[in-house]
This record gives sequence, C-alpha cells and structure tokens, in this order.
Amino acid sequence: MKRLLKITLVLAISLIAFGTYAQDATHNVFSKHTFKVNVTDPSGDHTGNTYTWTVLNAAGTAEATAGTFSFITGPSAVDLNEVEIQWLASGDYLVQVSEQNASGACTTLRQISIKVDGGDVDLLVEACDATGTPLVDYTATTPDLITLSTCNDKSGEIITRGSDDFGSSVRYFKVSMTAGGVAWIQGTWKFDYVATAGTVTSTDATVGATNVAVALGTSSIVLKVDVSNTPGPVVSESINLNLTASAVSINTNTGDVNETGTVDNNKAKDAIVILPSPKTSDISID
Amino acid sequence: MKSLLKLLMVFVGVLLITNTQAQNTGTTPYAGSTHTYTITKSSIAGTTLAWSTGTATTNYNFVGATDGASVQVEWLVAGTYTLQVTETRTDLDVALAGCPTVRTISVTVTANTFDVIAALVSTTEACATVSNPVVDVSADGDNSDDVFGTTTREYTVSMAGGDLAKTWSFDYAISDIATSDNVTGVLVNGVAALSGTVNVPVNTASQTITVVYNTNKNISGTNGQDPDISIALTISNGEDELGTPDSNVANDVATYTVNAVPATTGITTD
Repeated sequence: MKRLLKITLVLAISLIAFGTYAQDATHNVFSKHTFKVNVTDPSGDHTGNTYTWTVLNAAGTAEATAGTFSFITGPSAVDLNEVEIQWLASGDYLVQVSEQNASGACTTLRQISIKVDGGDVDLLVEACDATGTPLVDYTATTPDLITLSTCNDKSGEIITRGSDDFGSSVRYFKVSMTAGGVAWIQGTWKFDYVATAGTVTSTDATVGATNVAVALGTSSIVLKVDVSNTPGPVVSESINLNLTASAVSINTNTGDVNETGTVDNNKAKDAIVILPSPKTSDISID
Repeated sequence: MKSLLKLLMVFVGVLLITNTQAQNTGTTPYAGSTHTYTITKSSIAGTTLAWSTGTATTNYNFVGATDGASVQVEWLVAGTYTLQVTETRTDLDVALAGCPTVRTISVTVTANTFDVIAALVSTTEACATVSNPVVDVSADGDNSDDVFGTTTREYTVSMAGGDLAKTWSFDYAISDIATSDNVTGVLVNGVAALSGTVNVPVNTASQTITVVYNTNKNISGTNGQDPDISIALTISNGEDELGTPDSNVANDVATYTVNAVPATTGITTD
C-alpha cells in the first residue's frame, strides 16, 4: 500500500513539474514575435474593446524585468488585438493580454508562456570565394589550408608592354551575424573593420573606410578586397590578407546591442595568402 | 619667297628620306634576320623561363636555347607575330601552376629588301694604263726590267634597302686576272689576295674595292705582253649583322674589260 502511495506521489509530482515548466512556445533571444487574440473574430463582439498587453515573470506575479523585452507595437489601445514583442534576454515569461469591454465593466485575461532561449550576438569572419562559399572546411578532420594560398590574379596574364603594372587581386571574406544562435535578420547590424591590405567594397552592405553597415533582413554579407599585387623579387613578398571586425553590434527595438560572443572569430581563422609572380622585366630588343 | 619655298621642299625631302630609312629592329625585322630578345629574370631563385611565339614553326626558327634570359629568333616569313616569355616559379605546389608572369612583344616581320650590289666606277671597257713614255731601264731593247706602270680598276659594293644602323659584310672574289691571265702584282685593296671578306661599319652605305696590277708584266706573254683582260668582281654571302641575307643576287657581279696596251720594247740602235 505504501509502495503504491509512493508511486502515485512521484507520478503526481512529475505531472505538476511538467505542468509548471511546460512552455507554450520557445523563442530565440532578440527575436521578434507577433501575439494575437480574437483572430477569428477581431471585430464583432470585440469592437471598441480596450486591450492591454503585458509581459510578466514566469510566475505571473510581476512584470518582467525592464530591458528583457520590448514592445514594438502596443502595449495598450482600443481594438489592439495584436502586438509585436522583441525578446532581449533569455528566460521564462508570460505574455498576458487584458481585454476590457467598452463600458469598462468587464475584463478577460489571457496568458501564454514563452521560453526565451539564450545565446550570444556573435559575428563570424571567413575567407570565401565570390559566391560566399568558405574556402576552408574547418569541420574536416584535417582542414585543407592550401585552398587559401593562390596565385595573384595577374598571374598568367600578359603584362602590358612598357609597363610594370602587375595588377591587383580580388579576394573575399564572408561576414555572418547570429543572435541567439540564429542568423540575424530582424534588425540592422554594423561593425568596424581593418584589412591587412587592399580596399574593401561590397554589394551586400554599405562599406565605409573603416566600417560596415548592414541593412535589415541580411544576416551575412560578402566583402570584396582588392589588393595591389606585389610581384617578386622574393618569395617572402606573399601578401597575407585578413580582415578583423570590431565594435560589432546589432540594432534592436531599444537600441544597439554589442557583440557578446567570442571575438576570436572576428577575423578569418587563417589568412588568405596571395602568391606573387616573378618580377620579369619587359622584353628588350637588339 | 621662292627661297623659302625651296628651303621648305628640301626640308620635306629630307624628312621623307629619313622616314623611308628601313629599320631592321627586333620589333620590325626583315624576313631572314635573326634578332635577340632579352628579359631580366626576377630574383626569385626557383623560376624557369620559356619563350614561344604561338605561330607555325615555318615562320621562324629559335636559334639556340629557349629557356634563357635571352632568345635568338630567326624570322622567316613576313607577318605579325607575338613573342612571349613566361617566367614560372618552381617553389610552389604543382596545383598553383607556378604563378607565372607573362611578357610579350609584338613583332612585325617585313619582306627582306636588303640588297648588296656590285657596280663599276668607270667605263666598262677601256685601255690598260701605261706610264708613257716607257723608260727603257737597261737600254737593252728588252722589257724585263722596264716599268709600264700600273692599271687600276675600282668597284663599289653598296647596300640598299637595309638598315644603315647595322653593320654589314660580304665576301668578294676577283677573277680571273691572276690565274688564267697570268698577270703579276695584283693587289686588291692593297693586299695580294683575290678574295676575302669585307666588314662594313654602321652608317656606311658603300665600300670601294680597288684592283691594281702591273701593266705588261705578264709572266707568259712575249715581252710581258698582257692579254685583253676581263676583271670580274663577284660578291657573295652579303648579310647584315643580324644575318639578313642579300635578297638579290642578280646584281652581285661587275666586270671590267681591260684592253691591253702594246708591250713595245725599248728602242735599240746599231
């Protein structure tokens, strides 16, 4: 009998615990979400009613800490049956809406529990090709770094007669932004950069002399670096090209949030190497 | 006003002559000439050089090696070609193909107009020269020690259609005055050799060849009597310093006819 009681208790506690911690939805930190009520009948009986939306702590005992969320629309107005909220910190929350009829006499409360997963704002720089495909697969057991070392772009092309212009080479870096482990497309983002050589441009973002601004909806960009070649005379004149980002931030509804993840990957893990061609002189004649 | 017009015409004429002077250079060679093309290698230790033209081998010949800092090309056929040299690194992974540097030069080969011409200076047919009156040295009525003087004939060997900025040369041969005609004391340009080679310096369009022999000192003629002599200058192997060959051999022979003067003996008396 005692044994049966124990099993029943354990089962009951498990059920209670499940009920306590089960969430209606899980969102990523910094993500934006729309919350709605009366979707099937937004007017009708509800016309003229006042909706008041709040975000509460998991227990529903108080409003969630300021700065952990932000109302993009709302939170209170007549006929406001839909709001948009951006999560700014991980945690468990209750989103609550209070609908009050036009006379103000009657109120109905609805809640939904949301779990917001944690995660960093993190920027990643990778050496890539023109299409953004990384040059090195670092998930491989032995990454093949030889793909980073290539001849300069003028190699094999004819040097203009009478000229010692050995041209330039174009190489690319892919810069990706994630927030909470998810590609960041819900706001603009920006960073400062320093390239070891060359001039940086991009068709994916606005590139200044030392900074890059990326528009809403784009989580990764390809930066093009145009580097003047340095032909021989010595092998050591290979160009080691890398790009380092700093002052990284994303823009949320309440302002910029700086990078919180590791900064080790704010530059390519291994530099691109542009190999020089021999500095052959022009052809002279008799 | 007329003077000014004349001056202007002369000036234009000089300009035209200057412009028409052919240049047998590495970029505008004559067919048949051999030119040297040179680059300076990079200072990367491990590189190789390779010269090529991208045209049929019937149009040119590489003379010697094609993997050095210089290459010699004999151009054979008129046309426009591209000579290319590629310097390739050998210190890199094979997949990188050596990060080569390519240099080219456009070469326009023109038809060979270089012509070496043998020509006479004076009348084709004339008498031999005699120092009249001939002195009877021994007063013995014999010509053996008498001096009739010397007969001289001059030729010019000139170059046309070539590049005056280049030296040129030719072989010559005088025939057949000393052998079949048994004439003595023959000197060609002061040397007792009937053939030789003449090297002509730059900016020199013609060269003189002088043939001198002792008149009436024929070793087989009676009293030294010379026969009528044909003295022919034949030139061969005409070429400029680039190996451009003489393009016209039809004008490489010039011949004098020298009519003998009587080998009259000294006057004797009883």
